[in-house]
Amino acid sequence: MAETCDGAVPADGVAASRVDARVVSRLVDDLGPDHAAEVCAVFLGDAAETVRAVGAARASGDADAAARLAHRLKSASGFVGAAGVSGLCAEIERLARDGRLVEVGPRIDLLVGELGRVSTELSALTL
Amino acid sequence: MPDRNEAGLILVVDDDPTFVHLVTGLLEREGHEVVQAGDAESALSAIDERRPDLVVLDIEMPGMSGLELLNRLPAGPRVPVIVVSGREAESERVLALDLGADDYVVKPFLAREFAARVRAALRRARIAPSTTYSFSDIEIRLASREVTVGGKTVALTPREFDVLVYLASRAGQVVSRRQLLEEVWQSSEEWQDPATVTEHIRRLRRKIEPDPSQPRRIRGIRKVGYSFDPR
Repeated sequence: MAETCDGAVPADGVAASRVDARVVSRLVDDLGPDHAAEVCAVFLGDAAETVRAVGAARASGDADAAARLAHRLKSASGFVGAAGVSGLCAEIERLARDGRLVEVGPRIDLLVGELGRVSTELSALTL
Repeated sequence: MPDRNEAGLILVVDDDPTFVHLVTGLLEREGHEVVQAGDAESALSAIDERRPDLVVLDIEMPGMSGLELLNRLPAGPRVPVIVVSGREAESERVLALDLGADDYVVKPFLAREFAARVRAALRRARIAPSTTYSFSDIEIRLASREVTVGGKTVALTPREFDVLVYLASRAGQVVSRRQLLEEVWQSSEEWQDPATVTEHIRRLRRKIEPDPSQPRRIRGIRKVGYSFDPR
């Protein structure tokens, strides 16, 4: 888990960045700053909703829905450089497809935390 | 950036709002007009109504998948499709390409490269040779709307031609009267007498069958519809 999003702080005291700034920079170059900011805002809004939906799917035992939603968020997070979110979503997708919904719960909690950090960084990068 | 001749109407089909927003903005910035569909069913309607120059299609969607949609597109000259997916497995790519996708791009991708792939797909579609359906004794040329049977040109009305193309592009499949009404007449049994279909089939058989009383090419499937025999 350490390489995904446990929020570990390295020895030098600086928390690892949760967003690849090069990806966001490229997005700004390709789309223009306004549109890039909109894409990031859409991502964050949809991510929050998707995480809720994954939780609901897990609670109702719908592994297919949980896997599909996680897969979708995994792809979307790649476009904004949020590798930690991608990694967690990949785990959730894999667990759901394997029918291991009980193990999805803790990953959802981690995903919420990771998205919080990503939101702060994306906002700063697209200002 | 595409010049005016390269820009097109592009249908983006995906239930992921981030992707749709990103790609729409990218393609509009390139000068294309973009239409969006959040699922395969509405995409099929959009393809029929708006006749896009290109479709960007995600595979994994709720309800009908992108692959099922690909499979439902008629054979012959059809809109080019770029499949986009988070799945990288070779088997997925091969399946999509074998089902008729013109390109397969794995998400996430670099925007400029994707825009270039779109331009390339549009260029290929615009210079593609005209499609001709050829069967043993019958040829149907779409660009010129010409039909020959045994080498002789047959005069068909526009509607007869459209019915023939619809059947021939689905050769071997059974097509119902309802499908023909909906997809060739853009109508329904509520608004149009299905006997219209029967009458057009009868007229077509008179023009292309060696013996219209015993049709060999356009077979009737009792209580179901018709099937174009490709042999």
